[in-house]
Amino acid sequence: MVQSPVSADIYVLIFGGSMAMLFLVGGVVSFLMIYRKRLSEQELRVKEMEIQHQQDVIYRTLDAVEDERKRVARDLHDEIGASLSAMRLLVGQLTQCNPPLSGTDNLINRFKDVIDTTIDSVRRISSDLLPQGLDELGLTYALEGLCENAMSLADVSVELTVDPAISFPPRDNLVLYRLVQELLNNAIKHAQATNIQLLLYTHPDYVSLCYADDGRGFDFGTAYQQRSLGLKNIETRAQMLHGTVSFDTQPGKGLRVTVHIPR
Amino acid sequence: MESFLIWMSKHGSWFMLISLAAVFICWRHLIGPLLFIKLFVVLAVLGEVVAELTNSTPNLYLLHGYTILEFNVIALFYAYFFGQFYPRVLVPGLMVLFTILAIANSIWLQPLSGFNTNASGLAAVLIIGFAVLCFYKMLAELASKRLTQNPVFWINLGLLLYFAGSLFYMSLGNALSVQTNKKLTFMVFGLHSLLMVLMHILLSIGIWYSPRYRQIYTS
Repeated sequence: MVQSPVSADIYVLIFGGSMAMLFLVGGVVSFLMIYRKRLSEQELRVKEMEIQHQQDVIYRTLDAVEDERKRVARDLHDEIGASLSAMRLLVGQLTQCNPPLSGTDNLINRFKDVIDTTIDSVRRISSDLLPQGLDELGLTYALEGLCENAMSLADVSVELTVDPAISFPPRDNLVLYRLVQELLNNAIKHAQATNIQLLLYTHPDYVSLCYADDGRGFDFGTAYQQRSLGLKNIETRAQMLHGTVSFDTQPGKGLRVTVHIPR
Repeated sequence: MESFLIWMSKHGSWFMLISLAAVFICWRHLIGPLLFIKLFVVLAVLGEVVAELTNSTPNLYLLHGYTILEFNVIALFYAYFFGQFYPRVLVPGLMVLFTILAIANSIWLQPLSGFNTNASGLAAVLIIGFAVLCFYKMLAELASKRLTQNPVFWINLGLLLYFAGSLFYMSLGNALSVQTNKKLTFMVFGLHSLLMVLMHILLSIGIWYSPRYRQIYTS
């Protein structure tokens, strides 16, 4: 059966129109899909920027705290420490007075003791605030001091091994020092550890800090959910060094912490 | 299908009442670029009423004026929406150019007693261009979290489908034997009417979402 030309035209019209409409609708659907994809990408970028901003704020706050600590430590050492030393000298001169006042020797000695104790306290507070010798003698020296201090405070043995090739900028040195300080504080205050091992060594691509203690350990999931300040501090310090941190612990099985810092 | 298209060509205009009702319901929310959509719908209904009232006499001269008015109102909608995203002279420049060309076409090429296919074809091409630019602007700005609740999306979609379809059927109709075949002519009119109904439905959806747009626009 042969179709008439008019009926063929109608089919062309309808088919062509349908195809054109389908093409347009397909274009609109594609537009909607691209729009959604770009929108979700944009939202993701915004969220990343927000997180980055929050991290920047935290890092800047921690940097500001360190700067303030340095200032206070310097003021304590330079001003209060110097004044106390001068006071100690003046009190020493009292004993050389002529004629010596009766019954004052004992008082002067007690006065000297009080001043000496205060000088020691100022030194201790100052060195707590500003790690002794970190800037001048390097990270290894400061970490040794930190470990000795820990051993003097508690019945704990700390084994420290530092690769001599390790070298960081001053800010990173301080961050790493604070990280180790936090680990040791936790070990003494909460873990009741008796043996601690600290190993700092270099790889071609990163520096590794390995910490292990034989303390009480804890349930990591619970501690993390409770937003343990110590854990968060360690994590934040590692992030400040653009590093990663992993915790391995169980109740009664001690704690092992590994920090990888890219070089 | 054939009878449906014939019916549509005769009664499709009634669907304009949907968009007209939406305009009256959302009257105070139609601000910014949507102001021109209000004008466009009112103009379309008025045009239809005047065409019905004057259909006893040759009234194709009305189409010539209507094409110019319609294009300029739609162009104003796009000009307002584009703002400074594209060069500010783009849409006004095209409005002036189109008006001059359409008048020249009516004077010298297609007299007022016949259809102005040149002008309406050019208007369709320009509006398709505006619609594509509008989609591009939306894609670049990503201003709406839910695009399907943005009135401009629906209005732009309606205008794009209508004018692209009209252009297609106009050119296809000319290529086929529409001039000599009455049945085919009715079908083309029916399909055109169907597209117009679709456009007014999409415009109504856009207008319906205008309160949400008002919140965004005024915030």
